[in-house]
Amino acid sequence: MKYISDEKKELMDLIEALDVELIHLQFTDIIGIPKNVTIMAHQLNKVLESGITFDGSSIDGFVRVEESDMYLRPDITTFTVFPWTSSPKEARMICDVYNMDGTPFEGCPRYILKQAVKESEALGYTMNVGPECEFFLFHTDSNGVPSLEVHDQASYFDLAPMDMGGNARNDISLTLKQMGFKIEASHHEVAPGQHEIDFEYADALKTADNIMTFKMVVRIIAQRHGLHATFMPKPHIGISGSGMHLNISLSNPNGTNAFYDPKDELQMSSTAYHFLGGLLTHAKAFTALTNPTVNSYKRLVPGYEAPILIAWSLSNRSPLIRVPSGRSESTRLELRSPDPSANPYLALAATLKAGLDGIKNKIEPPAQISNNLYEYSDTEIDELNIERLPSNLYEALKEFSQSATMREAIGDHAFKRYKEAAMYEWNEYSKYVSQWELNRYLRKF
Amino acid sequence: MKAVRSKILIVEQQVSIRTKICTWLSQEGYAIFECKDAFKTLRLARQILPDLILLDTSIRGINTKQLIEIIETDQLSKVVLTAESINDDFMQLLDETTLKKFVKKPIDRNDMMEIVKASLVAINEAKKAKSQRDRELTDSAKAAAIVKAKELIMSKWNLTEDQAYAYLRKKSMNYSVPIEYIAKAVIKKYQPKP
Repeated sequence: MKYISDEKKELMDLIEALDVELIHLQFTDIIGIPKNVTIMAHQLNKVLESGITFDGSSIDGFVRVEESDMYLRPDITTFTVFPWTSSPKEARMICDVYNMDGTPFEGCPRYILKQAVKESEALGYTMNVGPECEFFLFHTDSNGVPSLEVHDQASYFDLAPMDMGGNARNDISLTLKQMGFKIEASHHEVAPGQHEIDFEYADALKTADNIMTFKMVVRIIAQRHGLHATFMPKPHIGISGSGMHLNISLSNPNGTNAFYDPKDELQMSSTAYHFLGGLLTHAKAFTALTNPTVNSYKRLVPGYEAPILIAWSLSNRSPLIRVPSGRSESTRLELRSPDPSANPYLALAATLKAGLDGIKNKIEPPAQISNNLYEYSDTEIDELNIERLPSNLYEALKEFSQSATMREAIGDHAFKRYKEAAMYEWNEYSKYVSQWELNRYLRKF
Repeated sequence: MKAVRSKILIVEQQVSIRTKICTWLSQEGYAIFECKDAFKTLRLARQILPDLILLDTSIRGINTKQLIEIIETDQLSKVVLTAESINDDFMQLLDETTLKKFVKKPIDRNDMMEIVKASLVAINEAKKAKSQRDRELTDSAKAAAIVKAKELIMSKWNLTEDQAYAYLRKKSMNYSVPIEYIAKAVIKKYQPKP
C-alpha cells in the first residue's frame, strides 16, 4: 500500500494496533457549531492522500449551492481516540476546509485563525491562551429534552454531597486527561448546577481546537451521566451566567514571555500595555464574535461578576480585563467578556488581531481602575470616560460592521456571512413575544 | 448482623407493569428503585449503584444498546432485559449484556423471581472472584515491591536480607504506614534511572 509519508504510515499502523474502526472527521462552521463526517478506518489512507469532498452549501455560513463542492483535509496531529468507545473503537481528526482547486477555503474558521497566527509570528510573537470554560449540568425529561432543573444545589467550590455534579465533572476531567489535556482546575461554580474546568494554556490554534474538543467531551460525558450540559451563557435569570475567560500572553521567539518586564512598576512590558490598549480599543467591535448570541448579553449585566465596562484592573474583577498577579512566565491578561457559545477560532483571531493592532500602533491603555465598577453610578462612569460594552447583539453587530480591523481579522467572506447570520438571529429574536412581555403588558394595556 | 438488601432498579415505561414488578420484588425483600426513561436511569444508577437493573428494551431517551454499554462499561450495574418479543434486534441487545438473561413479557412472577435470584447469585460470585483476584494481585505486587526494596537497600548499604527487612519494618512503624509504601518510596529513591 502506498503512503504519502512516514508520519502517515505511523498513523495508519497506530490505528490498526488500537483497533480503531470509525474515524470522525471534524470541522467547525462559522457560527461555531461542530460538524462531522464519519469514515471507516480503512478509508483514511485515501482521505489523507486526497481529502474527502462534501457539500459546503449545507453548512451555515459556507457557500451557496452553485459553488458547493469543498473538501476536508485532516490534520494528522489532532488524531485522538475517544476513550469512552470500546466496540467499535472510534477516533477523530480535526480538518481544514479547502476549495476544489486546492486553495484553503477563506471561510474556514481554522484557516482564519491560522492567518492571524501567521501575522503574529511575522511580528515575532506566539499567542498563548489558557481558557476557563464554565457550563451548566441540567436534568432531562423522559424524552431527553433538557430542563432547567439542576443536578445539585451546590455553590462555589462546594464538595459532595452538595456537589452531585462532581462525579460527572470528575469523569469529564479524567476523559480529557486520557485525550491529552492537562487539567489545571475543576470545581463547582457559583450557581447551582454550574461547573468550571480549566486546562493548560497552549498556542492559539491548539487552544481553539481544545475548546471545541472540550465542549464535545463535556456534552458526551454529561449524557453518559443522564445529564444535559449546556454552554448557553445565561440559561437562568437571577444566577451567574457561564463565561469563557481567556488568559492571554505572547511569547518571544526564544519562548520567553513577551508581556514581562521586571523593570516596570507593574512588571509589564510595553508589548503588554500596547496589546492591552488594542484589546480595549477594539472591544466593542470584537464583542459580536466573543459574545455571539442574543442570550450572551443577558450575562453581561451588573452583579454577577461579568464585565460591562471597557476598563482594566490589576485586582478588580468587575472590568473587562484583569491582570492577574502572576509575573515572569505567568504574566498575562485575562479577558473576561467572552462566553463559551463563541466560535473559538474567530474569537481568538479577533482578539489577537485587536492586540496586534495595539502593538503596531503603540496604543497606550487608559489608567487602570481600582474600585468596583458595579458601585459606580452612570454619571461617575461618564465622567471617567469609561465606555460600555454593547448591551445587545444588535449594538455589537453595528460596532462589528464598522470595524476595518475585524474585517481584516476574519476576512471578507466570514465577515459578510457572520454578519448575515447574526442579524438573522437578531431579527428572529426581535419578532418574538416573550412571556415577560405578556406578564407585564397583557393586563396593563 | 442484618443482611444487606440487594438493590434493584426497575426501568419500565408502562406504569402498570412497573408497579407490578416493584411490588413483587419489594415483597421478596429487595430494595427497589424505579424510573421510566434512559436519562433518569443513568442518573439514578450512578447515585445508587444498584446490584441489578431490570431494563425494558423499549424505553425512551438514549438508544438502548448505548444505554447497556454505558451501564456495563462504567460498571454501574448488571442488566437483565425485559421485552415483549424476542427477535434479531433483541438478540443483539442481549449480546451486549454480561448476564445474557431476560424476562419475557407478559411477566410471570415466578419466572422473574428465578431469573432475578440466579442473576444476583451470579453477580455475587463474580464480585467475590474479582475481589479475590484483586487481593492476589495486590498481595503479589506488594511482595514484589518489598523484595525489590530489600535488594536495593542490601546493595546500597551492604546489608543482609534480614537487616534490610528490619529497616523497612522500622520505617513503616515510625511513619505509621504500611510496609509496601516504604518499599515503593525506597524503589523510587534508589532505583537506578534508565
